[in-house]
Amino acid sequence: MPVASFQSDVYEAAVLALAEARKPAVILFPHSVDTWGYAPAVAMRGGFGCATDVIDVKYDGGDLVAVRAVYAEKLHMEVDFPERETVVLTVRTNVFKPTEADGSPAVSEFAAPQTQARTEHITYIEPEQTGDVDISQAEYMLSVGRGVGEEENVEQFKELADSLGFTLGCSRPIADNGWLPKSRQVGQSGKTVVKCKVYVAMGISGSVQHMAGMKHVPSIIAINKDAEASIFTIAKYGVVGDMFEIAEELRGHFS
Amino acid sequence: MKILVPVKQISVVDEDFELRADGKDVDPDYLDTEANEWDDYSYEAALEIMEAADGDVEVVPVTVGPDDAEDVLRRCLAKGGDRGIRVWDDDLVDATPAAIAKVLAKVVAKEQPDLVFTGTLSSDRSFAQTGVSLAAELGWPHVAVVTGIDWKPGDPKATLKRELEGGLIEEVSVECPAVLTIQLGINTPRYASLRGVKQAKEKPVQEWSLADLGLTGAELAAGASFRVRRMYKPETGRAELIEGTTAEQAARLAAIINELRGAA
Repeated sequence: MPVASFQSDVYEAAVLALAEARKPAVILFPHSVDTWGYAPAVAMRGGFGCATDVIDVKYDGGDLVAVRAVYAEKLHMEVDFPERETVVLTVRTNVFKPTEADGSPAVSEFAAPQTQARTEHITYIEPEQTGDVDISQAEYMLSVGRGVGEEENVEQFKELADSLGFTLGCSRPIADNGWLPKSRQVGQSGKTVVKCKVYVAMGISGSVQHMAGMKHVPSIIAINKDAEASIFTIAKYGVVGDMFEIAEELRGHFS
Repeated sequence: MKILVPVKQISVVDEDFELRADGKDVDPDYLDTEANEWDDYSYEAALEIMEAADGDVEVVPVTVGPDDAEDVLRRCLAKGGDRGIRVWDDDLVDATPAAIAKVLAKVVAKEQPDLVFTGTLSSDRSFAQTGVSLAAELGWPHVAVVTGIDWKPGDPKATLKRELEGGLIEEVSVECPAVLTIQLGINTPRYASLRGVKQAKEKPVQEWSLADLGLTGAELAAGASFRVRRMYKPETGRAELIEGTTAEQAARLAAIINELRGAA
């Protein structure tokens, strides 16, 4: 639970005042829900360059260059920021390795400006606890995505997962449709499957948000009819094919 | 009372593609167009408020895009709303989110809506930048990644749910007028009826150029968020593909699963 609530007006004013005083070349933010809500506004109000969801940063000569993924991760785009003294970058989590040693920055105080926020925190609502399993603790998972097609098709994958001794998970559209409870959703707005050792992804193309919750799993097996699906770039084993036909055949091996 | 809903025609890359001669984007011959998925939800959210208000609220879709982007407006109008707005100029071909936000701010100045609903992001370039940049340009309050809206005409504030990491929800209120960026799953977007699709063809779409909005290409270029140096196909990992008949693939998968389970 966050300790203090996020107010975009207050955060923007504080970062802009600091940028005005210290004239940084780069302002780095994590690419998180809160920064989606204010980093672009800082850039716009400050007249700064801006790139979001950055996966690599480098200098080419004197030019700052940022790399980000586009077109469902199929391509990368390299951008620079001509004539910008300050650049805002929001950086994708878990793409940069943390340094081994701590730095020793000179820490100084800076008084944040007084700002009247035009948003007001009311309350936090915890995700629904359905008394269902806690997928963050599951070691073996079978997850279904959009490829499952219809609600009545979900049950057969639940049965398959059970026969494998795997826990059933899903990607966002399945939970949004109410076909499986939110507590089964893997990904940025669902759960990260921290204990998972084997993850079977069926009919999941692999959005950035889904992969954020499972790409660390050592053994990922992907079954998808689209050979170009992003999920195959992080999977150890892949089958390009129909998830229903594969499931049908798999059943015979685990009954 | 009025809700303005900026929507976008997105590009989807074909399985095999080539880059444009300048190497800065995919050759348009290898791009298909689609409506942005997030915008189905933002438009639905606006229509639901309009219907609950019983005629007190007008919903206006707007897009910044070339001629064929009119499709995404018609797609909206087939579900509801009486008119759309399309802004285009050849200077907008490679426009960055900051430039689009400046254009939309001029549309807002003309239309004077009470609320603006954008999608949280668009799935082709995934900046998640335009809605919040628009709010900043307007000086309006804004809330991003919204999954619930409680507002009716005349309310000075809207009560919202915003989705944080891990499924945590924060309930917040925001002063209106405001810009909200809408997240997937906030509602169940309707499908247009055949009658709606037919009627949408007759609904007016206003077309504005940059000059109509008092903007110039040079001005927008100066305010660009970034400059594209190049695009390229990244080197990525690749799964070991299991070939064969379905039966053979399943047998191999079963063996792999058993081995992984046994080894763990």
